[in-house]
Amino acid sequence: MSRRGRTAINLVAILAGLAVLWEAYRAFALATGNMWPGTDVALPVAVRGSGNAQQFPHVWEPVLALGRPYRGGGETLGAFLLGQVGYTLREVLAGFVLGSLLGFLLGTLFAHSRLAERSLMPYVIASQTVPFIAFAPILVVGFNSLESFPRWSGVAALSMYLVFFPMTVNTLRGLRSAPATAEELMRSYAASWWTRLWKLRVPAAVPYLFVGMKIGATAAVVGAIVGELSAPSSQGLGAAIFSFGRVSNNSVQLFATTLVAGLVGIASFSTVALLERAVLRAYAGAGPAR
Amino acid sequence: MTSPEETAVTVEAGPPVVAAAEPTVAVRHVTRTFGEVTALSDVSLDVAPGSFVSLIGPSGCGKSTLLRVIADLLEPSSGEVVVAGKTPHRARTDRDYGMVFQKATLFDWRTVRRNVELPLELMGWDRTRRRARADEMLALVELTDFAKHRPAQLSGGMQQRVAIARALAFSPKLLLMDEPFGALDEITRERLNLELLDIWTKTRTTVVFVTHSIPEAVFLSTDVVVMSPRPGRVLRRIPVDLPRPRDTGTRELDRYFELVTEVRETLRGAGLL
Amino acid sequence: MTAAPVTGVRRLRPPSALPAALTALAVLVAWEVVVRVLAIRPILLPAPSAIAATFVADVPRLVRALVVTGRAALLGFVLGSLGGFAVGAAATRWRVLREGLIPVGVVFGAVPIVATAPIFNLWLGALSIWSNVAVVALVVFFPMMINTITGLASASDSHRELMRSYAAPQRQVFAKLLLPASLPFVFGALRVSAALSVIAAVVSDFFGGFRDSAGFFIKTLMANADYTGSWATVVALCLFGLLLYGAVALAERWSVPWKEQ
Repeated sequence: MSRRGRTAINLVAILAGLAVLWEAYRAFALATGNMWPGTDVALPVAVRGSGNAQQFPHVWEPVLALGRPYRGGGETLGAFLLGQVGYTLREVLAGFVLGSLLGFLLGTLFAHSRLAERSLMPYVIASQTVPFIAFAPILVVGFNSLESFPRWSGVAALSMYLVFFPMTVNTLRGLRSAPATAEELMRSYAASWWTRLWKLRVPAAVPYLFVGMKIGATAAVVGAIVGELSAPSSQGLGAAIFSFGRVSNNSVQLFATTLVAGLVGIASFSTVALLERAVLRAYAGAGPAR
Repeated sequence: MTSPEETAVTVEAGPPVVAAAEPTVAVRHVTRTFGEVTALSDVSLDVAPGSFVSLIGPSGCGKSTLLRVIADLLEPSSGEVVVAGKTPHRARTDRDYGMVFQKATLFDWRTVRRNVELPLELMGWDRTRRRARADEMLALVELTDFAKHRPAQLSGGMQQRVAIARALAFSPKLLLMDEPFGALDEITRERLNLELLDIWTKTRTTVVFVTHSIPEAVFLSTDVVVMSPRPGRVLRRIPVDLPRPRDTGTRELDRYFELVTEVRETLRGAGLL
Repeated sequence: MTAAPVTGVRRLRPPSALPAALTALAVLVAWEVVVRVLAIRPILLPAPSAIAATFVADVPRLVRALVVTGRAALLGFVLGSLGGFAVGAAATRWRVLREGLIPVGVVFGAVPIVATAPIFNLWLGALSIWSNVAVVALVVFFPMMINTITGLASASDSHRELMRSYAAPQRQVFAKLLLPASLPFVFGALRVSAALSVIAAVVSDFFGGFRDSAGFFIKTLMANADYTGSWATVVALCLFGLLLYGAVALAERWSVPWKEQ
């Protein structure tokens, strides 16, 4: 069997195994009344919480819940969440595109100027070690106070910041990745800095750009969701998770929404990964070690 | 390494080429296939105790496979191998042989000394004895001053000398070497050839040496075994009757050139050159 | 014999810190001037001097917030890393796990795991530290698992052959070859996780829970128009993140001295 086929089967097998474990735990907890058998020690997670509220649904219940009305009547949860996904994706896309461009420009500047690199790069590196996402409420509330910007732009700004850091680092790394001999060859042709950049360094950097964009694709989604829950009366997936999380008898809807958020993350990452495969195949070049 | 004084002393001590005693390695009609590919086809080979046998041939002639069959790192598909009078598996678990690879294969995280100690550790030697032995081996390869260095701080040639010291640390009866100097530059290689001969003379270990350098094989060996590929088999075994001790002057002897030519002609006769 | 060896581990010459320090100073001054001259509202950007003043005045509150958020981050960091290592190490024994867990890790790497915070609040109680710890541990778990699997598989074939030629038992191969070979990868994961754990802890705070946590202060003070207080909390959290990262980097230098940084 092909490597890819086997990987897919292993992946499905492990996910199925996790689902079985989930159901086994659920059945076990129901049978023992949420206690370790023969002791009065409680299990870590109870299937039913206070007021007999469901908090450990069957694995399929959140999926089924998508097809049912999510409150009182009318719109299904699925339709409601689709609207929220649309709202969130706008922030993700804006943040991703702007962050990638900004990161690419700054990375190119650093590759061009040692002084710029030495002045700013330490901060780009240090910013990777600090919880930048802690700025979420500050950024979102700040942007929301500006009349001229739409409400989603604050969240998009947070996504942009989270995308821009890995993009800068990987652009610089990529532009530096062209072998020294190739650089010497270009110099022997008396190629200008611009020619060397476009004909040698940028093509050499393409695989690295995708590494940065793949990190960014995930970071943009995380930024959007965290941004949405950090200001009152927001819209989007993050706000939906936040509000379902506040109401304890809606756990199936909370699970369903979290699941959808996960799928958005996977979709975002996969889009860039597929683009990467198409581009690298077109260039038939080898990528950097992953 | 081989200072004139030292070689002068070891003139008489040169290991005799013993043919009568039971061979250290006996390979009988060994065939080894990998799927469709026959890497070794009906290979037979005796290695007498104290001899230095080189296996030479182009890529794909099965010389490395043969070495791994002797080392019990690969099983023969058919045929029989006897190492030190035992099955290769028994010889391996009894630690009857030491092995040196093309890459030095040192452990980056260990100092040079602790790299040499590795097999002794696995054999359960205590610390004091291990240390003393490692220092002795480092003296043999003249790396005493580098005991506390890490492999990454050494040149390729020095790393390979550490690997040799490690392979010899537990005084194995047999030393198996898989293109040990293949990745080194020509000058370092010639120097290590001299050093290896010196060590061989001092330790009297039997050596099976895989190489694709004709001059190296002739210079070092008591016997050169020429192999051909697809399927891998032995073309011819050429005894090397160059005088010992061998030194840089050996490479200028007429007989040396004759033997190099003989190996080359054997390869050419088989359409390999 | 051969040319003199390089003594001491080769290191890149440390770049001069001067340009970076000057940049920091210039940015702070420019920030202060711009805020004052253009009279920028503090909701957008408070002056650095105002943030610093609040920081100094609020030290007791900031310390309390760091204790609450920091201990969740630290506990989750330790438990998640241990769990990821254990599963990664177990995976070397079974091929299905070894080959299946890497894609599982990639999939979960693309998922906004911090969004599970409300689920853990539901399960373990919004006012229990363990719900925050669980989020952090889950976030940290996957990078460690992937790097452990990769690291334990990183020993070369010839190193494995060498150990086989010594007839070394499996336990010794693990202890003397596979484990040390994996250390650079394990520390790579720890460095990433140090930053991730603080991020996960503060996001978990955002989802509600402790009144005294850093995330609670950042969010609530912002809503209550105490903008410098919110900024000061972020600064404190960043300092904590740097501290944790520095500690891991130090431990790495000490444990993996053979790798050039």
